[in-house]
Amino acid sequence: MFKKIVIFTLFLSLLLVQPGMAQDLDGNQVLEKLEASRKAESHQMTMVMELYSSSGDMRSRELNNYRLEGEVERSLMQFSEPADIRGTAFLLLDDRENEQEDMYLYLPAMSAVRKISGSQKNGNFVGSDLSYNDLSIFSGANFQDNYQAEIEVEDSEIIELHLEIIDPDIDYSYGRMWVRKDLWLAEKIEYYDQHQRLLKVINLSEFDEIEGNRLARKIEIENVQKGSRTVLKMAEVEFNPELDPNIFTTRYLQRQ
Amino acid sequence: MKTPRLFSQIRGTVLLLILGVSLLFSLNTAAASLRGEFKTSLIYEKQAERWQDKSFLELDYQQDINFDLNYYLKGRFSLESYYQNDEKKRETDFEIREAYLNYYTDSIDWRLGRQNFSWGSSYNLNPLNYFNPPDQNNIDPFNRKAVDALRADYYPNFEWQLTGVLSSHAETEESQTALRLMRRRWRGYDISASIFSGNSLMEISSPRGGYYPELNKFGIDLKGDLGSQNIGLFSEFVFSDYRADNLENTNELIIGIDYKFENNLYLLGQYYYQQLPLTQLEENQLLMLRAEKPFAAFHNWEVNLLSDLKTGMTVLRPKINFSLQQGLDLETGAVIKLDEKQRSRLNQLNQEMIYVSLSKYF
Repeated sequence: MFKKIVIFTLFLSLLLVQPGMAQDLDGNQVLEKLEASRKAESHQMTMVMELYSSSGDMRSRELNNYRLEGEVERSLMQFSEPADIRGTAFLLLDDRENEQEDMYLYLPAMSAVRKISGSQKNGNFVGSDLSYNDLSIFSGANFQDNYQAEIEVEDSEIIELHLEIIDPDIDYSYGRMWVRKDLWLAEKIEYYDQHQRLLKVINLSEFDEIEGNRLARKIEIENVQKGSRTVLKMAEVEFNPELDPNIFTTRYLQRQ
Repeated sequence: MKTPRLFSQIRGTVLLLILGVSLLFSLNTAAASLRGEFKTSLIYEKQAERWQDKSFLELDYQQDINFDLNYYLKGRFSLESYYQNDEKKRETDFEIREAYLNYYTDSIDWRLGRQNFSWGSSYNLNPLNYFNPPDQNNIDPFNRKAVDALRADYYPNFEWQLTGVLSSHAETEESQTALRLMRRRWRGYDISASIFSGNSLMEISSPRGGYYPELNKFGIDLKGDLGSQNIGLFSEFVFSDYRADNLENTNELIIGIDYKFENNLYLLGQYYYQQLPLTQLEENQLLMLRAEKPFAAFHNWEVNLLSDLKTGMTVLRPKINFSLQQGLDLETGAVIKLDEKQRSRLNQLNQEMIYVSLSKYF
């Protein structure tokens, strides 16, 4: 009888301890796990972006995004819809080691590639509710370069993080992130403005796993101060495709 | 080198070639793209006291023949009506605005046909654009007309680009030649140097009529970021060496900065210094400022201010663009002259007007 009581007590204490096991991780280790959910060094995506005004009007855009990591991180975005911006393309070359970032824009109406200033990354990405720095949410960029995280609340399914902004280019005062422990992906993020007021709510859903890389196929960003929102849908996704580095050149842009 | 007939022959051959190729490959629409814009504008010109109704349908078509070869056609059908003193005049026109063949080899990209060049990093005023003259028929006075040319871009690697151009002068059809060497991503800057031999795009008046003097030009261009705040810095410099003894050599310089704020407000400012080849004319000094910002999600406003620092005259060009629905825009704007001076060069660029335009993209 005593043996049974001891075994039952041990089992019960194991059960009680189990949900707290992730507490072994600190906030920054949770960010590491988030990054580890995306191992691919390159990707190719077709995205549909729906922009909604506060009155409910909608405009949509369709774009292809190519990304290749390396000594210089390369990203290319090409708009295929609608007609007035079809063919417009952005090329971003980020040489982190030498702290040099170059951006080029191809405008079909001018049939020309122009170098654009780094300040073009301020403000919103092509009229959406996303800033350029928010793009890291779906591109799988290095979270740890942007934030320092502390765990605020944790239960068996979700870890709630407080994000301290350490990248001076990010214009929020702080953020909060809800991380799903079964996927190690964020399912909700809140950003607060410099007056500590809630600015954006980002909801991620329709989670998928492709060749060991996890992602949210739908990202909804709401600017609660303006009442506008943006919905991003990843229509086609390929991880680690064989991307020719030559597509990340001004020469390729000029050929569009 | 005066070979106007050469370019007439090249132009005819290129157009025939493109039309022939389009017919040959018209059944293969898989690698083709067609898009267009219909725009109708109602304009009131204050000085002429007349109303204009300008409409056009512009179609552009691109088809890949194979991975290394494609062609591009852009045509515009326009209809313009003028109403003045109870009189009405109507003009129709069809114009091939661009038509060229692209051919890509391992390290050289060729383009043959009617085309635009975008040399120079400054905003609208580009003394480094040696080839395309201003398009006088456009509401925007800085729009340029395409010219017939053969261009070759040699890319030994990503950082370097050498471009050679043989083109036809837009008015005289005499041949023009230019060479440009560009270095990209040098300490955050794109820098280029170019030389040009041909005719000026600026017409010189003489008792025997206007002419486009022969000259050689040397130009430098740079674009990059200033400091850690990523303020854009750009500059163009052109030295013109006129062959005629009665014309002085000239310098032109543009220097400017631009910046986009977190609230999406974009600001640009540039200073333009231009010496003129006729000794009796003073140099021009212009200041150009531009502000642009989106509002209410899909709409956009912009204000351009062009000021003649020598005479004190200023031209203001406010514009608002409303996105009515996907692919349908309503634009309204004006050109307003402040402190008008007859001798200012701004009078050649702008006339006072108000306008409203409706554009449909498809």
